[in-house]
Amino acid sequence: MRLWAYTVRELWRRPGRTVLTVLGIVIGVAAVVSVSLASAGARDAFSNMFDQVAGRAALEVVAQARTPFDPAQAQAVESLPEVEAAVPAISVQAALLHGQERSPVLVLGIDPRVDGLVRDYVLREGALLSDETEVKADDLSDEAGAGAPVEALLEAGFARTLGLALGDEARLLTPTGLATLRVRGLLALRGAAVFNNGAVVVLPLERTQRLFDQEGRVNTVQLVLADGADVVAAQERVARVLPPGLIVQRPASRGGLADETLANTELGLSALSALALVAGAFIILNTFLMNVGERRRQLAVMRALGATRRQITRLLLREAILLGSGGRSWVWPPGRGSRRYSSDPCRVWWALTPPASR
Amino acid sequence: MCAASTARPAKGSVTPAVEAQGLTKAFGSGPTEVQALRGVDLSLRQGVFLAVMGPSGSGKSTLLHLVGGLTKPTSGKVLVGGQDLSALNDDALTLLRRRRIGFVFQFFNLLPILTALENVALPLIIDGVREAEATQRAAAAMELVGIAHRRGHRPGKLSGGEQQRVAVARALVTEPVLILADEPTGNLDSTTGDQVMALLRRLVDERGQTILMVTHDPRAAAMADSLLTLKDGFVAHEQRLDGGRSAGEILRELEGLS
Ligand SMILES: Nc1ncnc2c1ncn2[C@@H]1O[C@H](COP(=O)(O)OP(=O)(O)OP(=O)(O)O)[C@@H](O)[C@H]1O
Ligand SMILES: [Mg+2]
Repeated sequence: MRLWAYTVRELWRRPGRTVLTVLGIVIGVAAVVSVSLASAGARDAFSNMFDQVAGRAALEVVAQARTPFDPAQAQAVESLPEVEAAVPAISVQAALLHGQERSPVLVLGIDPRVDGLVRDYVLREGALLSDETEVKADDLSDEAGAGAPVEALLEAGFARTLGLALGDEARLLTPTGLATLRVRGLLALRGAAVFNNGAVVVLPLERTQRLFDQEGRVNTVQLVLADGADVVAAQERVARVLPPGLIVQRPASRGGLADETLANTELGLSALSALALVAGAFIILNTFLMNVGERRRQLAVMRALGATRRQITRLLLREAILLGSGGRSWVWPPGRGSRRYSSDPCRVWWALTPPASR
Repeated sequence: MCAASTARPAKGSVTPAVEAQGLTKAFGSGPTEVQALRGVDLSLRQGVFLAVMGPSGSGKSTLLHLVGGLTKPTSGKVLVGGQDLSALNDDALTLLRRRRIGFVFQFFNLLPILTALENVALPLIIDGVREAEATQRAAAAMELVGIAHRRGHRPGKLSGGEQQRVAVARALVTEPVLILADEPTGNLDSTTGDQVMALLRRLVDERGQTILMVTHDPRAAAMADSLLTLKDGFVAHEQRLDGGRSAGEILRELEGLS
């Protein structure tokens, strides 16, 4: 007969205390798990959001200095077999004015013919941008063309807060002065409209370039790869054909604002997770100390009766494992639904590691 | 049981059950140092019942703990059944305690979660004996101390005297060379105390058990073969109690001492 099996009777002969102990563990573990799940959720949401802006592109070409560049420099990539499509875009900060309302916005200049390949636009009302919304360069050169309102897409909720409805006009403050926009479509808060919390104005690419004095330049050219193309291999091929000053990267490492937002969020979530871990560990430790304290006399008696230190240690460990797995299975009942998290300790680890140290 | 009593050496055989030489024990250090024992010699033949008395703080419990290998002496040595305890490491000492020494405490120290029978069997379980055999031997020990009818009860349901008898059965179950008892009647009324003392006496007479008992109670001490009196960590007095000395006489003698 094993000693531990003999003394473990304690657990069911004193169900009240056992339940309390398990409860302590449950609360401790639950604190850690819930915070790390919440963190993972928030992280997913954030990276989802950036994904939606960065789109479904596997790779993107940007300038090393993060400045706008001429997409013609990257033209060579389009002829690579791995690259299915190259989608240019420009994003700039501006301010939108309507009546008394004014709001900082992110202006996203897109090529309506190809942007759908990398970003989603879910229309609530009106119409999307199309080929015709892009006024031709020669039209722009005459006064009437340049003065014509720019067709714009706005996120529906954001438009409402500014009092803008379909077909309304608003003014956009740009480095070249005030431009007139006309609301052509209202978007659901999905896809590209998610960025900047919806404070986003989607305009045709060439008009945007002109308005912001960036003619012929973009921030990014996003690459959609051919089916079955290997991302790493493609990245190497693309890098080889790019001129100096341009780099190709995975859209995961996005410039400026996105990275900073993500890093700040990560830091906050990591701190929260660490706090929960400490709190959880403290609760569990306390529960066990309470138990051991209560039983110190018993353990001393067992020592006097001839139990070795090793026997006592093993006894307590067995009990801890038993109670611990009991508590754990409350939080993560064994079964399919819980597999996703219980089988993935990396997830908890991920939640606890500040991004800088990864 | 019978096997054990025949295996036991006859009363008065040559190797003493316990020997202590020049035992000292100090607790703490510097200004707070306490000299609990200041040089105690002791020799206890097998099959002898020795009582240790003395004022509170005179070092009685300390002596018992040293003899039982629960603490290590500051100097001097202890031999149990000829085995020098200072030569043993912690595990060997634990093993010796497990197989050769039985303890009886003032507060019984039974495990509340286990039944009386399980408590008695515990030292055997600790020693790795199969539960069936352990239970059988425990039941026999309980029979011997006359508490077999309470085997299924938890300690909380037993009277003090019954609990102490369970504790005596637990001390006996491994058939130890030596039983150490620290004030076994200290927590019992005089009638139950007498019953427990009669039980210990019977173990010595019928089974040749060696017992070293610390007590404050002259009625208990009067049941022993010899009396050792401690004072301030020294042996103040040592005497045989053979033949009809009453508890009253012992009491008067002790009062004269302190
Ligand atoms: N673990 C310890 N740490 C410090 N001092 C101790 C310790 N154990 C005992 N002492 C001290 O050693 C001295 C002797 O203690 P001991 O317990 O042996 O006395 P005792 O004769 O059993 O007394 P009592 O009759 O009250 O049980 C006392 O002064 C006590 O305070
Ligand atoms: Mg004492």
